[in-house]
Amino acid sequence: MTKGAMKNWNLEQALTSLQDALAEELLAVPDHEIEAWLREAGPEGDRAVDAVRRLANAAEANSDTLRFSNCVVRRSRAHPVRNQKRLAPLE
Amino acid sequence: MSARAGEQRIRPMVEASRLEQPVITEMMDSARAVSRALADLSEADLLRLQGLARLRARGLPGAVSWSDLLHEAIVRALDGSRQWPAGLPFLAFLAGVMRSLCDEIWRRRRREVALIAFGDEADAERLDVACPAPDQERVFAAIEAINSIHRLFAADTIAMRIVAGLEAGLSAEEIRATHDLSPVEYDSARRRMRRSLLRAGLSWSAS
Repeated sequence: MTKGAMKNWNLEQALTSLQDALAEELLAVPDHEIEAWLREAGPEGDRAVDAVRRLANAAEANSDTLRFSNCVVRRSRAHPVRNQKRLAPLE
Repeated sequence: MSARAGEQRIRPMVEASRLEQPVITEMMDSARAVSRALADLSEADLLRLQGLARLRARGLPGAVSWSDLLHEAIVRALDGSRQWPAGLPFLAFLAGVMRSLCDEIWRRRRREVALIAFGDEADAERLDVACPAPDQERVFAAIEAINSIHRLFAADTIAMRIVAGLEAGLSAEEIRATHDLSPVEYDSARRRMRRSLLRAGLSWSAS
């Protein structure tokens, strides 16, 4: 690495770039390589799989409903409960 | 109030709910699709997911574990606050959610530290004293994370060259040209890196 490059080196940026590239590598690992590792790892591999499965199930159990605040289009929020009190019934 | 006036008052609300309806439907469709995709994950996908979460959790504040990060990403995907774009593979989507959560975690950390340091003054637009604590913490966490990744590939000279190139944001071609690597050398080093990463993803004990 040149002196100029070292001077401009940003640790957080370097980590993000590295993580992005390595994440792509992980996504690209072929199934057969992972399955081979699983066979090799035995109970350790099974435990790792179970840990993620349990975590996914727990997350699903925790988010059984959509949050209303996430469904409101920005700047078009209506306040039906508050306004209903003021409105006369429609004829 | 006349019916016409009432109608005029209610129209914006009806219009708004018409606007919201497709958004809500879209979010629910996305959440349902996420739920189905989670149920369909293979063992290999579950391991990839753990590897991705462990990789991203490196460089986060110490109290945040890989499982916290992955849990939060799945919850956000399921509750519709992060929508799964059509055509994007599910794991790539979750990887992206985790990536953006990392930034969010640091922003929250910065806010917490500012509140501790400045209390009510934290919201002031201009503070006389900048609070360096979260930035320093982030830099230390980044150093630690980079070191742990370097340790992972330390025995592999070509992999270390590739890592240096990736840190600098270079493309595969640029890395090959910079270090005079043949395509075969480069590809086989990447394969070794993938295997190490996968193994490390399951054995990195910290976070």
